[in-house]
Formats: sequence, C-alpha cells, structure tokens
Amino acid sequence: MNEDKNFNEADEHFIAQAKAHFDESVHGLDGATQSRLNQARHKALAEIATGRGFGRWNQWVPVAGVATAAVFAVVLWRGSPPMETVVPPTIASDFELLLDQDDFEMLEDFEFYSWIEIDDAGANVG
Amino acid sequence: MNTCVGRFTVSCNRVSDTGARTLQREQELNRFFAGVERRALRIAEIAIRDRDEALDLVQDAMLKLASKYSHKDGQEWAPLFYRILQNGVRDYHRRGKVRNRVMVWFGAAKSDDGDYDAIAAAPDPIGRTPEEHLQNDEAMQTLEEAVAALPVRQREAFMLRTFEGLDVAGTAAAMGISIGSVKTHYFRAVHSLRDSLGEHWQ
Repeated sequence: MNEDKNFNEADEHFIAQAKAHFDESVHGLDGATQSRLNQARHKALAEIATGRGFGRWNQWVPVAGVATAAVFAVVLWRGSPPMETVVPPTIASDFELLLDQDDFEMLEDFEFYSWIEIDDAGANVG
Repeated sequence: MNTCVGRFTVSCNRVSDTGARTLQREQELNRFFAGVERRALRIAEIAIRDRDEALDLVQDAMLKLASKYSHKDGQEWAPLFYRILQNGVRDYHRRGKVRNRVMVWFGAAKSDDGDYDAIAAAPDPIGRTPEEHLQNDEAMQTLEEAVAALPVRQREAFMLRTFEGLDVAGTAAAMGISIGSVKTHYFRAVHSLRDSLGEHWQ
C-alpha cells in the first residue's frame, strides 16, 4: 500500500493523525469561504466558454495562412506591377502652355484683366 | 438538393457532437474543482499563511487549468492543478521577499506570521463539541506552523502526499522532480515534523 520506503509504524500513525486533522480543518471551512470557492470555480468554468470561442478562431488560422501564402505566390509569379513613370515637366511643356490659343486671348486683354483686379481691390478697401 | 441537406445534417451533427463533448468536459472539470478546491485552499493557506491570498492563488490555478489544460486527460488534472498552485505559492513567497526587503529598507518591516490566527481564519465547526473543536484546532495550528517551517520541497512533498493524497508519481509531476526525490523529501519531512512536534502531539 505504502509507496514510500522506510516508514515505521509510528511514522504511519503520525501521517494518519496529520491527515485526520487536516481533513477536519477542511470540513470546518466557513460558508463565506466556500461561497468564494464556488465563485472561483464558476469563473474558471466560464473561461472554457471563452476558450471555445477562441478555438473557433483557431480553426481558421491555417486556412488564412494558406490563403495569404497563395496570394503572395501569385504576386511573385506574375511579377511586380509596372511602375507608372512620372515624366518631369520639360521646357517643351511650358511652351505648349504659353502657345495655347486661350492664353493668347488672355494676353490680348491683359489691360482689361489688370483693371478688374485693381477695381476689385479698391472696392474691398472702400 | 438532397446532397446539400445531407451535408448540412452531417455538419450539424458534428457541431452538436463538439458541443456535447465540451459540455461533458465542463461538467467533469466542475466535479474535479469541487472535489479538490477546499483541500487546495487549505494547502495554499498553510503554505502562505493568508486565506485571502490563498483564495486568489486557488482561483488563478483553476483559471489556468481551465483555459490551458482542460483538453488534457482527467487523470492529469490533479498533478497539473497542484503544479500551477505550487508555482503560485513560490511566486507569492518571492514577491514577499522583495516586499520585505523594501520594507526593511524603509524601516517598517513587519512579520505577517504574527498577525495570522488559524483558529479565527477557520471557524465554522462541524458538530464537534467545543473541547474537540479547540483540541483539533490547536493540534492543527501546531502542525501548520511546523509544516510552514519546513524547507520548500519537503513542505510541498508532505502536503501533496499526506493532505492531498497524491501518489508518488502524481506528486513528482506536480513538483516537477523525480520520484526518488519525492520519496526522499517526504521521508525527511515526516521525520522532521515528528521531531519538532514531539511524541505527545496528536
């Protein structure tokens, strides 16, 4: 019965006595303490429900991983998307703007537009 | 159409089986906690000499077992639970040492043991006469003090083997040491307690 070596009869008696005193102290726990233990137990069991929800998420982790890897592989296989080349403005484009027909019309009426601007500024001051 | 209904039924059955298994697991764990919680509380209380802190440690151990190890076989729960609890007790003592050092530095060191009253902490007799109650409480208090004074490994081995009733293998798993070490610590603990309590203790 005894798994432990070298215990004599007096040792066994002592162990039995200690166990009996301990058991009695356990049975004598007050109601408030038992109530708190009940609450702790129910809180722990509620944790399983939370873990269950987490478990459902866990099921989709490998699927999400495979999907991500597949998308990544396709992107690599097709190569990187072509970069849009940004052409810096050149002198030619400036000439194009200046030579536009509308701009010439504006230059012809330059005095008129200057007068409007001065007139507007005077009106705001007045 | 029939194939789809068939697939849906199979899927529902699977979900239902999983739910039933989880519910059964919860019930088993509930029974395990209900069977072990009061002894665990007293064991933690003897180790740290504070009931409120012991309650917190037991609750933490329950939470960790439920969240991390509830899927394990029920036979493994007791050693795992006590391993978590013993780790909590060790952490508590470590924190206490740091706290005491800080308090000594500020000149306000105070022993917690002096404030502890095991009789006041464990009232609510179970139909015993006042004399029997007092006699048991005195004997238990003396035993608790002697157990608390043991080296950590001896104390753990004694409480797990004698109070909780774990077998040698379970105690070894709970303490994270070999079976031979458990036997040695337990043997030394019993003899040390008998020496300190004397022949008249009963």
